[in-house]
Amino acid sequence: MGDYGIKATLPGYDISGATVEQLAMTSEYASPKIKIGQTPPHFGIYHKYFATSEHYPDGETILTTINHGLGYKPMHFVLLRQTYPGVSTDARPLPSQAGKSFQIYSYATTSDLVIAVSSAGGTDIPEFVDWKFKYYIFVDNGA
Amino acid sequence: MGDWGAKVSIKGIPVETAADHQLLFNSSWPLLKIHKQGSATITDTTKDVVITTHDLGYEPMFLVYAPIGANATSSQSRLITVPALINDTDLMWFGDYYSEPAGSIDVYYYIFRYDMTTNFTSGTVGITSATANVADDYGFKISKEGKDTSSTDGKDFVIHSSYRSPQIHKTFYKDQTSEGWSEEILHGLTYEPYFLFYTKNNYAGRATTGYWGLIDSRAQEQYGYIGESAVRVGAIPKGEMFVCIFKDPFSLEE
Repeated sequence: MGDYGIKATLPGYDISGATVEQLAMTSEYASPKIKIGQTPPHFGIYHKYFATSEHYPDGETILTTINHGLGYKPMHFVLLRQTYPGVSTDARPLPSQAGKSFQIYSYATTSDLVIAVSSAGGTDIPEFVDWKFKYYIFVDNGA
Repeated sequence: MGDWGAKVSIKGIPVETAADHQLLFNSSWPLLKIHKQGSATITDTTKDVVITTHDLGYEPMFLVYAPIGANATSSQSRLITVPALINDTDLMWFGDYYSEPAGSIDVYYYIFRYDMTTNFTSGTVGITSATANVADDYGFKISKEGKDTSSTDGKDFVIHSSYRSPQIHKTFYKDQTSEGWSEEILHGLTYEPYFLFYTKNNYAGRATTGYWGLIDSRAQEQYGYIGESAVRVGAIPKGEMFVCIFKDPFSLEE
């Protein structure tokens, strides 16, 4: 194949001598991609509000599954913002750990993105806690 | 230099009013470019092994997925931190950090064309979303070498206007010289975007001096949070750190 392609430099760099790192994009290198217009969406928010306290037993509890329909395990990101009554915390990427005995995490299977918690010995989440998960499912492989 | 450049919006969005996060790319900031990706089998998870090599000559951003963590099974893929670490030549698996039952597992990795000692801030911040009003099926796509542009498989494309690709909004590098350091990195986006946080040499006392690792929210000695105005990161050990903030598709308030 011939040396075809397009590329665009970042501001201040000459296209004739720019390195790959000085390019905004180049057809020589692909970027991860999230498909637009999917049902359910491949990027979105899963919201869990604790109107009453909830008990998570020992082991894994799945909070939600988001079907991606890709047929393989994809690359993915999940960000969580936890808000406790009267306190708004910043967001953090998963996996997240609250103490040594409770974890919040995500994983992809060939059919779903799964958001789950794991408790060692059982954990109570108090009322009015609010969890918002931002998720991103890429078409690129994650396995 | 004049205000020249190129930008392409995602499908349906008028490019002249599109917010930054509604663009497929803008020549004012870089896309996350994949240098190398692939799978590898760690046949003995307790050993130190090279997952893959790279020839970049610098320490690049990377991601590794593997079926490890709480309640993990082989049918899962999870974004992992340790035991996957990188230096300027190798992406390594360090068996000392693997705390689960020994065995064989498959991992999947990405190495990106981005040096983790780079400081960058995108010049413009358009945060007001435009309404989709382009009904015609216009678009922009570039297939990978050897792949047909008529493919329906998103993995066959470099970029495609029916897909979003991670756009780098800001990167921040610093060599922290004090133990117990903290850093607030303003991003100006007014929403909480996704970010990645890496540190180097923060696994002192092991064979990992000179290696970078991704930090997640479970670490006891490092932390990273993001708010609507800034990323807040910190660590007990001193050393080099790097944060990459992406322009995001949406806000947590939506």
